[in-house]
Order: sequence, then C-alpha cells, then structure tokens
Amino acid sequence: MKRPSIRDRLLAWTTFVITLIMAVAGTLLYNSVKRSLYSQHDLLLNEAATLVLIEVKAKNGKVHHEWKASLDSASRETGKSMIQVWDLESGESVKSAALGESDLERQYGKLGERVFYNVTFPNGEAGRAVGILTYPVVENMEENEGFVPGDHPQVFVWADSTQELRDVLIKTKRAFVAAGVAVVLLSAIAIWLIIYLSSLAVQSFSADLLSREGTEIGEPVPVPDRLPSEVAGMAGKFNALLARIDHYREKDQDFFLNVAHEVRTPLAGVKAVIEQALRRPREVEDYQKRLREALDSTENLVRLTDRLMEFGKLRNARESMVRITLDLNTLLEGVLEKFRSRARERGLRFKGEFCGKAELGTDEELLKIVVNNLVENSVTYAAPNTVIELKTSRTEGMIEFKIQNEYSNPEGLPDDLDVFFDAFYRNDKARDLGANNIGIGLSFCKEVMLVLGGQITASKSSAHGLCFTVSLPVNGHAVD
Amino acid sequence: MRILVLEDYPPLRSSIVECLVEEGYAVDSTESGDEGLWYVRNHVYDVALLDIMVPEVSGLEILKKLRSDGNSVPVIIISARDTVVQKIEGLEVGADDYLVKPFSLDEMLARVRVQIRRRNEKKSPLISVGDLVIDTATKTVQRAGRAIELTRKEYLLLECLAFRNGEVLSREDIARQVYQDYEGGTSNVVDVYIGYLRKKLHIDGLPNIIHTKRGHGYFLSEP
Repeated sequence: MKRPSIRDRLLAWTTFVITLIMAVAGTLLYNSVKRSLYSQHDLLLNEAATLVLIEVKAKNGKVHHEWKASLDSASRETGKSMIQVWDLESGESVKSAALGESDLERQYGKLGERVFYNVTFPNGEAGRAVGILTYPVVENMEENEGFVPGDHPQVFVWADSTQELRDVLIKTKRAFVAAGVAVVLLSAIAIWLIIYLSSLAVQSFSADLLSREGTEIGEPVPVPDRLPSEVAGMAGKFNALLARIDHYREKDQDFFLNVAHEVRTPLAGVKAVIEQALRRPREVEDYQKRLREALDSTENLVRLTDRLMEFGKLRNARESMVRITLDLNTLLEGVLEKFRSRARERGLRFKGEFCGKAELGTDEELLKIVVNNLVENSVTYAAPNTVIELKTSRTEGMIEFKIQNEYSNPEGLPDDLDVFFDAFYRNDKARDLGANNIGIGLSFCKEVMLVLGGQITASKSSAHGLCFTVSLPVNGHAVD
Repeated sequence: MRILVLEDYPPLRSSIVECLVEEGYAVDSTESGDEGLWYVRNHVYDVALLDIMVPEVSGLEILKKLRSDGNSVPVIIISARDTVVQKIEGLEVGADDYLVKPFSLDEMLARVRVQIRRRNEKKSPLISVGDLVIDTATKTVQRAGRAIELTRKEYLLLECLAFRNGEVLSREDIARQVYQDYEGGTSNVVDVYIGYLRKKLHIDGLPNIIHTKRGHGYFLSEP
C-alpha cells in the first residue's frame, strides 16, 4: 500500500482550502460589486424616470405625453432608453419609438413606488426597467378644469439596456477568476516552497535513516540542528530506542557467547577423555572408567541445556501463568524448611521477621523459583556460622521480601551488584555443574520477576553483607 | 620437563594431566587459582597451561602476577573464550600461546613442545651435541649415525640434559623435571638412570658424552 506523503497532503489540502476561500470570497465580492453596479444603475434609472415622469401631463383635460417627442429621436439613435406608459383607465399605452411594435413588460407597485425588474428587449438584449404607478401632472388648472388626475392612473415604465453593465460585470468576473487562480497558484507554489524548505532537514534525516544498514543498530541517527522540534523529539526517542535495542542485542550476544563458553568446557572434557582413551590400547575396565567420565560430562551438558531451555521458556511464561492468591510467609517457611539442614551444616541460622499478612495474587511455581534461588544462594555463599535474615513487609499495593546475610567473600563483591543478574556471572568463577551452579540462577530470578510484574535488586547491607530485595504487586499487576 | 596444569573442570584436567604424563612430562595440576599461583611461584616449570575462568584467582591474573614478578615461564592459555579480543587480551597480558577449548590433545602436546623448544632457544626439533642427535618431535636418539633405543625415562633425562647443553644440573633439578611424583629427597634414582644412559650411549672408540661434576650434578657436552 502506498503511504500518503505529508508534503503532498499539506500541499493538496492547503491549496484546496485556499481555492475554496478564494471562490467564496470572489463570489461574495463579485455579487457585492454586481449589486452595487445594479443599485447604481437603478439609481440612475430612477433619476431619469423621475425626470421624465413629470412629462406625463394633463393638457386640455387629456393625458399628454410630453416626453415622447424629445425622447423618440434620442432613443432611436442609441436604442437604449425605452419608455412605455399605460393608461390604466383606457388600457392604452404610449411608448417610445425604439420599442417599435413590442411592448415592455409591465410591473408596478403602489402609487409612486418604484419597482425595478429585469427585462429583455425585442432585440434580445437584457435590460433593466423601473415601473411606477403615477397620475398625470396638472400644471394649469384652468386649462384642465374638471380633470381629475386620480381618474387617469398611468403606469410608467422606463427600461434601459444593461449590456454595458453586463460587459463590465463579465470583465470583473474574469478579473476575479484570473486573480483567484493566480492567488491559488502563487499560494500553492509558496506553500510548496515553504514545505520543501521546512522539510529539508526531515528529508536529510529520513535519507540517513533509509541508508542505514541493518548492522548499524547501535549507531544513533545524526539529528540535524535544524530538524523541527516535533520530529527532533521523535528522533531522540528513536535513538533512545536504538540504544536500548543495541543494549539488549549486546546482552543477547553476551548470553550466547557465554552459552558457547559454558558448553565448550564440558565438551572439551568429553573430547579430551575420549581422545585420551584412544591414544593407546587399554584394559576394558580402563575404557569403562573413561566412558563413565565422558558420560558424566555429557550429563553436565544435558543439565546445562535443560536449564537453558527453562530459561528460554520463561520468556513465554506470561501466557501460561496460573495466578492464585497465596501467602508469601507460608511459601517462605516451606522453602526455609527445605534448606534448614544444609544451613545447619554450615553453622547458619535463619532469622525471620514476617509481616502479619503477606497475601498476593501471583504464580506460585514461578515465585518459588525466585525464593528457592535466593535462599539457596544465601545458604551456599553466606559466611559460615552467621545469620541469614529474612523479612517481609507490606506497603501500598506491594509486598516486599528481603534476604540478607554476611557474604563469605566480601572483597570479591563487584562494585556494580547488577552483574549478579547477568547470565553466567559467577562471583567466584567456580565451575560446579554438578551442583547446578552455572551462573544463571539470579538471571533466572530477574526474568521471573519481569514475568510476575515485580522487581529484584541487590544491595550491600553492611560492610560484609549482601541483601536481595524482591518487590511484588499484591494484585499481580505491575506497578509503574 | 615439568608442566603445570591449571584447569577447574575435573574430566578435562585429568585427561590433560594423564596425556602429558604418558608423554613423559612431570605434571603438577590444580583446579584453584590460588594454588596455581603458589605452584608457579615456588617451582620451576617448562610450561604452564592456564585456564582463565578458575575459582579464586583467574588464569589471567596469575599470568599478570607472574610477568610482574619477572617470571618468564612459557604460558599457554587454555580457554573456551574464543573471540579475537579475548585472545588478544590473553596474549597481551603475557601468554605465549592460546588454545581454544575443545582442543585436540595432540595439538596441545605439539604446542607444549614448541614452547619447550622456544624456552631452550631451539628452533629445530633436532638437538645436536657433538655426534649425538636428539629428535624431540619423534623422541628418537642417534649417536654417530646409529640409532639408540632408550626407555621413556632415559629419553627424558637425556632431553633434559640436552636442552641445557653444557649446564650442570643437580640431581634434584633433574628429578623434578623428569619424575612425576618427585617430592624432594636424596634418592639415587637419577644416578642409576645416568648409569643406564651412559651405557646405551657408549660406542666403542667414542668418548663419554655425559659428564659428572662432583658435588654438583651432571652435564652434557661434546667431548
């Protein structure tokens, strides 16, 4: 699917909006001009009509159209102004010569009221007319004695061609359209340029990003100074993400190197035992002894791979978690009971300080892995004849469990205790595969805690002491 | 020739030790870094095979301490750490060779022999002392063109003297280099084997090649 370009979208939409605005504004302006011109035209029409209107007079007791003689000659020449006056009483009409046989459309309102309307002349031209209901003007009362103007209502219609006005309006319309198109085009070009110039930094950043090889994960993408703040923030987040990916990639790489390393040593043992067995003929018992040694080494390898498999499965454990409500204190007591005899052999004593209620919703089997590992480590590495202290406490939504002891090799403690959680880290570098000490126990705990939504940390509790703290959400859901 | 093996994985350690002993080397072995450091500081070895990841003191730390003490014993690192960076680190610290696990015991023996030759400034596996020629690769001996059949102990004793041609070696020095379980003392086993060697190397008309410096020990030199 082709992704839309922000630049194209911006350009299209802003151009569309500007076109719309120009069209609406142009139409409104044009109509306003049109109205104004027609209004002006009507004003002139009215003025002219008013002037001529008084030339419908009463003369000798009859209606006399004084205007006709003077106007006929002029309208014949120009063909512009046409007048028709109807006598509503008789139904007859008098019209200017320019009308020939045709009649004007007749519209009128109340007495003296001007009614303006469009008309079409016989030659097909458009025009504008004003219709007025009027009475003839009586100037000489004596001469027109007995003439009652109200008995002779006249409808006076003056029509004028609007062709010039229309031509002006057409020109105005064209000018408006041309100006509108020009404005839209110039705006589009200006917008395109602005977008292009503004997006240069984004394009360069994007090009850098696209030209990257898959192997360049660790290298941050250069963020140009002129990169807009909106994208710069995103770029910063992206670089932080790259750094995190690189960190985890390195961790994974270390993990696999360590796996290879851990596998190689027992493998070297098997190879050396077999090679040595085959170097010269030997007695059957001797061969059997060597085969047993090789078998022991392969069993160590099997144990190692089993632990690695469990470690791998943990990453998918979230889906298969069985969350129940359990009491951490009860679980701890069960684990301590298991290690009590081993602790006694080393002169170690457990001292518990458990809070009243330590119920939480979690996966019992996974939590047991953590507690078992921590207690076993304490029993194995605590200085002989010392006390292993265990404490549980409850805070807002969390249950905390601490286990601390005097460490047998305090000088050997690393400065950064987080390395305890690195796979295959061994503080004393002892290789004792028989006791399952392959250095992934605490790394295992860390993975389990991630699955359970909790945390595990290590700290120095005193000059010689080491403390592991486990924090778990009471409801089994991670707390930020 | 005495060799120190520092390796914490028991099956591998025992196989290496057995292989070296079968080849006639005297071997001390340990799984602990502390013990390894003690051994190498208090005994003379022709080669030390050091694993890196061992308890207490790592192989690399032992190597650093040895070199800062001025001890130039040839060191071969045996490790599962196989990256170029790790190898460079080992060699930069002062290792003479680097063997990645799992390795062939034959290759290990060949590298041990190279280090022994290098330590004794012998570029060729052949050591000549007058008309005596010792092939350290095939472990065969000829005198005046005639092959001499020697037992393993006799050969080791002769090789030990030949590597330090002209240098007087005390009975203790010889015993420590040749006998696996030598723990000091005044046994005359060296004198007995020197007697056997002299007999086997004797050819009518040719002078004795193994000499005694009374009160000091034995040395090999051309007549």
